[in-house]
Formats: sequence, structure tokens, C-alpha cells
Amino acid sequence: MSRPSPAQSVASTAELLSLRRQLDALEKRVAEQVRTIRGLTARPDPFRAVADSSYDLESWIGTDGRLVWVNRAVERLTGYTAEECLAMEDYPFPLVQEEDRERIRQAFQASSSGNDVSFRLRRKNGETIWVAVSWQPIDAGNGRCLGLHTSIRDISDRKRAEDELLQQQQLVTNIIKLIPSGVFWKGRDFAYLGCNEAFARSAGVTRPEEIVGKTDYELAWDPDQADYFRACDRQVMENDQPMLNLQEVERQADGRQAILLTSKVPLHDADGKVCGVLGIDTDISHLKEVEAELRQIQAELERRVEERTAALAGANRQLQNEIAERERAEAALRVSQERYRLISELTSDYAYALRFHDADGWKIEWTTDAFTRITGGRALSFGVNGIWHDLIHPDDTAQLERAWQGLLSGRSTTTEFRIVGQDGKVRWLCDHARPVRDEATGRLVRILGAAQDITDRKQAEEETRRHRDLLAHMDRLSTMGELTAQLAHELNQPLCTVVGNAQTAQRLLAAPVLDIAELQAALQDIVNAGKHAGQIIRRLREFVRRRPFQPVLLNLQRLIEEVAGFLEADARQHGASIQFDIADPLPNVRGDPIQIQQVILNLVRNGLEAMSSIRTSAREVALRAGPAGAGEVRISVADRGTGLTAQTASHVFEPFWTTKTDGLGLGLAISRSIVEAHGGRLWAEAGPEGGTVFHMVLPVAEESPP
Amino acid sequence: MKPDRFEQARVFIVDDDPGVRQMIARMVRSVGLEPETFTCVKEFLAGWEPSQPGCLVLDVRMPGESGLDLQEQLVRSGASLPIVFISGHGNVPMSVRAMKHGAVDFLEKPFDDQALLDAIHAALARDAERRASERLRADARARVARLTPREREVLALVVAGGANKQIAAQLGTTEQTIKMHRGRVMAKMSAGSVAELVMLAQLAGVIAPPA
Repeated sequence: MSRPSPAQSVASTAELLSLRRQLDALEKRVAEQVRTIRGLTARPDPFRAVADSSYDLESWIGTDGRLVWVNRAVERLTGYTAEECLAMEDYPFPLVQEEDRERIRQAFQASSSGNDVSFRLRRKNGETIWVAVSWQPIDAGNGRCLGLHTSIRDISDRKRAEDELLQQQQLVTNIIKLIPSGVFWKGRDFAYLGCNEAFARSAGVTRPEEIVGKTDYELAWDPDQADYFRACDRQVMENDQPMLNLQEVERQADGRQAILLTSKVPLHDADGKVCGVLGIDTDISHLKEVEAELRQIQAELERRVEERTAALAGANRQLQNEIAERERAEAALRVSQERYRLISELTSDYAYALRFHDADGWKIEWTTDAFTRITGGRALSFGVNGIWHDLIHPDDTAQLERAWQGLLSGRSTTTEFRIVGQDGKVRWLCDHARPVRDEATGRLVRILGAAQDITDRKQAEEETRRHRDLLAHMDRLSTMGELTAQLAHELNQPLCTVVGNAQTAQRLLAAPVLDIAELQAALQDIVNAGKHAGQIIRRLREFVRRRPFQPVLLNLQRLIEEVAGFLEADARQHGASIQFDIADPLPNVRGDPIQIQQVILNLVRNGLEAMSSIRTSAREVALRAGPAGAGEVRISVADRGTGLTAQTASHVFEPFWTTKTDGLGLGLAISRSIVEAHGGRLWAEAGPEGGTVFHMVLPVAEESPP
Repeated sequence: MKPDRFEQARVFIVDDDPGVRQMIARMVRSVGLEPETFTCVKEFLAGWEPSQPGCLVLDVRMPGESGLDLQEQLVRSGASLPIVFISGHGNVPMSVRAMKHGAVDFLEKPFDDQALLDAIHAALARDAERRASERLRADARARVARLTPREREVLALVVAGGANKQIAAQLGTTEQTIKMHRGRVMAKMSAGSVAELVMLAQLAGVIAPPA
């Protein structure tokens, strides 16, 4: 960098460069000086620049109350320029919203300094923003006050956040206050930290604040309920797990038992540690009631449905029953109609009506067809005595006359009587007759009657009675048989005594020396034994005649007919037959019908038994009855048996004389005593063609039945 | 059948009917026999002496024990009192039973006097015979009882038909000795002959009676 210097007058490059550097530094220094001087003149304080660039609205109010300085933030915040503010006499109050202005002024006057006092600032464009003002005096450092420094900060964001927070808090508070559930929260010590009004009411405190610090044991619940709550709280807090929707029954402060749906959740502090428990319980009593009510209603509905169903089923059944019943009734009616038709065709019942005519008395008004069938189509006349002429059996007219008198006196009558048909046959009728009076006059005007043919019934009754009587006879006969077996033994003793003594007496008489005393004793014993035997025989007779003897008029024909059935049955048993030969008419006799029948029965049986040794085809008994001589009737029974010798014929009627191995020999003896008691005779003869004939003759009764 | 043959005999009559009882007693007396009456079986058993010769007229049907019951009792006890039954109402099975058990007769009341008296006499005869043979047997047994043992041996061999020589050989002695024994046996037995001796031996039961 060396360059030739022209003469001592020319300086070197190095010197030039150094000079340049010195010049530049001088220029820089001058500029700085200028700048400093300018700064000192225009902005004499370097803090002012800092203040100018501050975000908040900074201002300096002189001691005379006039604004000395304001930073550039004033324009952003208020919309006014610094100059406009400097022009204001009463800065900063013109910027304060009128409602807040007095409060702020008083605050300024009250204290030389203040911090963060909020008010609404009215911007130049009319908007209002929330600001906070702080102020303090400016100290010159030598104890001299230079004025008041104010700093205004835009707090609209903060204010908005505060408002929002407040609103949120109010919302939560309102929710807690207004929800129908009880809400409470407790600390770790189980003491209440707070609750809503609903919970306070249930807990028995007047305001929610009163619950703070209390435990469940100091509230309305029962101790065991409090225990339960405590246990739940502990569980929630220790496990850090919520318990949700527990149903509990709780006695309320008003004494009501409430059903509560309770949930408890753990509360956490900033570190996430459990610091308490929050609970909410909802009274669902009414829900339960509603539920119960619903159930009741449902049950009631179901019941009604069932009832209705049952009623319907019942009605259905009834309907079906009615249908079935109607069908049955119709069927029964059809059967009944058919039956009635048949009855009316076949019946022998009859009905009739009689009417009273003033002119000629009672006349037949009408009769049914059956009536004419019974009467055989004869024209009937009706007598004044109520007798259907030519129809009624003569024996029954008296009875019918009495019934007729009863009808005329207004009584209904039932009469059983006989009618004699055109063919002469006798039929029994049972007649029910009813008198009918004229409603107006009360006079007897008609008689209605209906009758049944009871001939068969009467015959059956008669048959039954006859059989019963006959069975009674049989019974008595067999009883007699048993008795006679015993009597036979008794009788044998005196007989034996008589025979033995008599023979001994003969022997004594034949002896060389007559023992008179022994002979007399023997004879006396014979007498005694004979008397004894007589007594036994009398007892037997008394037995046979135990039934009082009542002689009545007997129709022998009927009497024989009655026992004929038994006789034929006996004959069949013996392999024999019976020939009846009964004269007609047969005179009547008088006596005991049973005893006479006993004799007939006995004779026929004897005959049958006498033929037991001959061949079956020849076994025949002939029973004949007819008049015999002067006022007598004879009944004969002939058999074809081995017959009697002249000797036996004389013995057969002796008691205990018998040819039979199983007989006692009393039948004929008794029979003879019966016949003789009736004034008749009974004897035996050898038959003209072998065998034996027994004849019974009875006197004819003086008076004969019609 | 003379009455005096039954001088000692008694006719026992058992019948509950007093008339019949007295009648039979009278009938028995009328032929010279001695009746003794009893009203029932019990009374008879109390009063009857078996050694007394006689017979029994017995009613079948009686209150208490029947006549047939009494017959059974007598047969069982070995008594051989002959019985004549009388019955008021007899039947065949009853009479068969009575006859099988040794009844003399079975008569139905009322009976003929001669029939009863004949039966009574037959019964007494049977009783007398029985009693006579019983006496003979007792007598024979008494004679045998008097023999010595040796004489009984000789008796047995003699009635068996042995000769003296054979008997001597059988008994291991001499014929002479047997002869002496035999003589004593004949004397003690009061037997006139060997045949008589045989009969006596049979009666005494030393040998079986001939078949």
C-alpha cells in the first residue's frame, strides 16, 4: 500500500485511511450528540419512551389536575388521540361511563393510590369496555410531587370470563337447587360439606347451610340408617368407585318412609386424591306407588279379563246347555207324543165327564174311546145314585153310592171297584173323580173322572197274598214237623210204659200166685202213662189249632185252585202228575180255608209218596171234588200206590202210625182231627184199580155266597 | 233157662223215664229176676259192682251221657257186662254200632214183653257162661301156681305130646325122674288124664287154646 508521495506536500494513504476512520467516528459521535440533544428536547425522559410503548393506558396528571402526558395506548383503548386527551380538562373522568363516574371520582379522592378498580370505559365510538384503573402519586425524588400516575387496563376479557364463570356457577347452583333430587357432599371425615334444599328438607334442617359440619348421626335418620350411609360412604371413598342406583328405604324428617334411589360418587382434589363423596338421592316413593298402582291396575285388568272370559265361557256353556236341553226336551216331547199316541191307542184307561142338567139331572157329557172298549160298546145309562147300570159289579154298588155322595158334597174321590164286561169278565177299575163348580154360582155343574184298569194289579196282589198265605201255611206245617219229632219221642215213653205194664199185668194174672199189689201198681202205671200220652196229644192238637178257628164261607173251587200250583210242583218233584176233576158248580162249605187246604195238601202228598216205588209213567194222583149225598161235599184223593190192606187201612189215622221211613205218622191223624173239627169225616179205602183213595166229606154251608 | 239158674244175677235198668224204668223192673220181677234201677249213666257207674253177675237194660237216648257212651266206656275198661238196648226212636246206624260193640239185642219202644225178657235171659246166660269160664281159668291158674319150676317144664312138654323118654332126654335127666315129676303134676293139677291136663293148661294160659 505504498504510494509515492509528490513532494512533502502529498500525504500517505495510510494517513488518509486513518483520517477517514477518525472522520467517520467524529460523524457518528456528532450524530449521537445531535440525537441526544434532539431527544432531550423532544423526549427529554428515556422512561417516557418505555411508557409510550406500554400496552396499558398510562397517563400523568399534573398537580394542577391537567393531563401532562398520556401514552400511545390511549388511542387503541379509547379511540381518542393523545392530543384530544390532553385537551380534556377533567381527565380521565370524561372517559368513565356515567353510572361509574362518581364512584371512581370518590375512589380517587378517597385515596392517593388505588389498585385495580374496575369501571366501564366509554370509547370515542360509543362502545363500552370494562377496564381497571390503578393510580399512585409521582415522586420527584426530592419529596416534591410531580402529579398522579394512572394506569388503565383493558379487563373486558377478564370480566367476560368472570361473568361466564358466575353464570356457570349460578346455573349449577340453580340446577342443584331446583332438581327434585337431594344432593349432598361430604368430606373424608363424613361430615357434610353442603347439600341442596331438597336434601336439607329430608335431613330435617331448614336451610342447606345448616348441614355443614354435621354427620348423619345428627340428622333425621335412624341410627341404623346412619350406619348404613356411613358404610356406603366409606366404601365409595375407600374403593374410589361410585355406587349407583341403590334403592333404600329411608325414614324422612316428616316421618314418612320414603323409597330412595341413591347414587354416590367419590370426589377428588386437584391431585386426584379422594377428598369426599357426592351423593344424590331421588325419592321414587311415588314411582313405587305408581308402580304398585300400575300393578294393581294390571291385576285388576287381568282379573276383569278373566271374569269376562269366565262369564263368556259360562254364557257359552249355558247356551250350549240350553241348546242341549232344548234338543232333549224336543226329543222327549217327540217320545212323549209318540208314547201318548200309543197309550191312547192301547190303554184301557178311560176318562169321562158328567154334566148336571136342571131338567133331567146328571148326564154323561162325553167319554173317551177306551171307555166304550171297556163297556164293550154298550149304551150306558147313568142312574141317580151315581151307578153306571149294567156295568158295576153288584158287590161294589154300595161303595160307589157312598163315593157318589162324596162327590155331590164336593169331595174328590178315589174308588176301586169291579165292572162286569159284556163277555161277563170281571175287571177292576181305580176311578179318580173330581167335582167342578160353576164359578159364578158356586153350584156343582160337572164331574170329571179318569180311571185305570187295575185288574192285573189286583190279580197280582191277590196272587201275592195267596202265595204269602200259603207260604205261611207251609211254614207252620214245617214247624209242626219239627215239634212233632220231639213229641214223638215223648209219646213213645208212655206208650212203651202202657204196653209193658199191660203185658206184665197179663203175666201176673197168669202166675200161680197172684200178686195183687203188683198188679194194681201196674194198672195204675198204665193209667198214668195213658194220661201222660193224652197230655202230649192235646199239646199237639193245641198247636195245630193255635190259630183261632174262624169259620168262613169257603168256595172250595177257589180253595183248590189256590193250592193247585203247589200240588203240581210237588207232583213234578215226585215225577208224577195230578188230574183235577172239580164239579162246577161246587157247593160252598164253612170253615178255615187254611186248615182245609192243609188237609188237601197232606192227602195229595201222601198219595205222591205212596207211589215212590212204582214206575214214573204210572204215577198219577186224581183229585176229585163234587156233591156227595145229602148236604155234603166230597173231596177224594186217589193214588196208584201199593195200596192198603184191610189192616193198615184201620191204622193209618192213628198217630205215629206210618209206612214211611222218614214220616212220623202224624199227617193223617192231624188231617182227620181237622176234618172232624169241621164237622166232616176222613177215611181211606182201597182203590178200585189198586192204590188208595182218601175221602173227605164236609157239610155244605147253609148260606151260599151270591 | 230156669230162673233159679240166675239166683244171684241182677238186672240193671238204666232209663231216664220213670214210667218205663218201673215198668221194666216190674216185668223183670214178674219172671222172678232181681232188678236194680238207675236214672242215668252216672248213677249206674257209681253204684255198679263188677263182680255182681247180671246184665244191663240200657236206654239209648238220655239226658247227659247216652247209653252208647256207657257201652263204649265198659268195653274200654274190659268189663263184659252184657247189654240189651232199648230205644224210643232208634235208627239203623245206631243199632249196628251197638251190636258191633257186643250188645245182646237192640229193641225199639214200645217193645213186646217177651222180646225184652228173652233178651234179658240171653244176656244173663252169656254173663253166667263168661263168669263160669272165668272161674275155671282162675282155678287152673291156681293149680299151675302150685307146681315147681321143674314140674311146669314137664307140664309144658307133656301137654305138647312128649313121651317120658323124650322129655328126659330134653331135660337131661332119667326117664325115671320124669315119671316121678309127671305123677306129681297130674296130682297137683287134679287131672285124671292127659286130655284133662291139656284143657287145664289151656285155661291157665300155659298153652294157647286151639285155634
